Amino acid sequence: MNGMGISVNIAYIFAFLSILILVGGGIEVMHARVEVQEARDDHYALAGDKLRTNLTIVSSNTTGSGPYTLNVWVENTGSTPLNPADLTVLVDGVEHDYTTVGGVWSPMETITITVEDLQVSPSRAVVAAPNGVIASADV
Amino acid sequence: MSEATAATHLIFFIVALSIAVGVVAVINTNVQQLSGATVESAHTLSGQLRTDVTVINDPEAIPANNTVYTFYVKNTGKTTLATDLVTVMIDGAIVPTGNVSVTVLGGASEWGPADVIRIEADPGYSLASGRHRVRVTVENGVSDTLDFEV
Repeated sequence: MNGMGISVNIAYIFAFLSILILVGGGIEVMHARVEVQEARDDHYALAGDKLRTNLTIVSSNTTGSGPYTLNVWVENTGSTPLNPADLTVLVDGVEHDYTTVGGVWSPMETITITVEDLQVSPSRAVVAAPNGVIASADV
Repeated sequence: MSEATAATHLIFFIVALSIAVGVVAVINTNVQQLSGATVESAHTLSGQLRTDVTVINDPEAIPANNTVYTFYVKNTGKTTLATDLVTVMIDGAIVPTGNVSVTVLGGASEWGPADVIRIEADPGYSLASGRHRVRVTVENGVSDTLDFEV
């Protein structure tokens, strides 16, 4: 009977170990599911951010006679505030440094973007928001 | 209990113990492989979900210098991307890695979220007048496409 008792105890230990291994694996899989869910939330947040963002070039003018200075007035026609310092500006397809106002760019607010030292009179401008939303226009 | 019975019990005990050890070892290996693969897969999927890139060129004004075309791509996701693992395809043909030069604008050393890279791609020939398509793919397969005019 002692031998039987030891066998039963050993069986319990192995059953316990098996359950422990399964639970450990299950916890790892649960963590993985949480990671994917968080990434999915980030993905939807990025998509939502894009949907809420819109820019419109409302006007522009060019001054000087070489080098030229381009002023572009851009309205935040979306529903989310933006940072004017985080924009990307392309003039005739080429990225240029620009100056603008500081602070928060609220919806329905228009800012002026100035690009200086253009060697050729500009004809096209693109303004891209940090999330890739673009406004383009002939200038 | 006779000696023969004790010996039989001992043999059964050893066999049972061996089988139990084998079963636990197999369960452990399978569970580890399965959970490891699931974690890896989740990690890859999470990276893809957090990655987004956007070609922000003016489709009507793609800078060109002989056979070198310049594209601007913004990291619109939440992960930092590797600039040396960018693949450029023009009209469905891969531009060889040696013919692609990538620079992060603003002097940053990494292509972080909201950063823009300038890609100078030389397909080895001038694009004919008309519509063309560029596809930029990053390390984990996420890509963006832009139709443009030359």
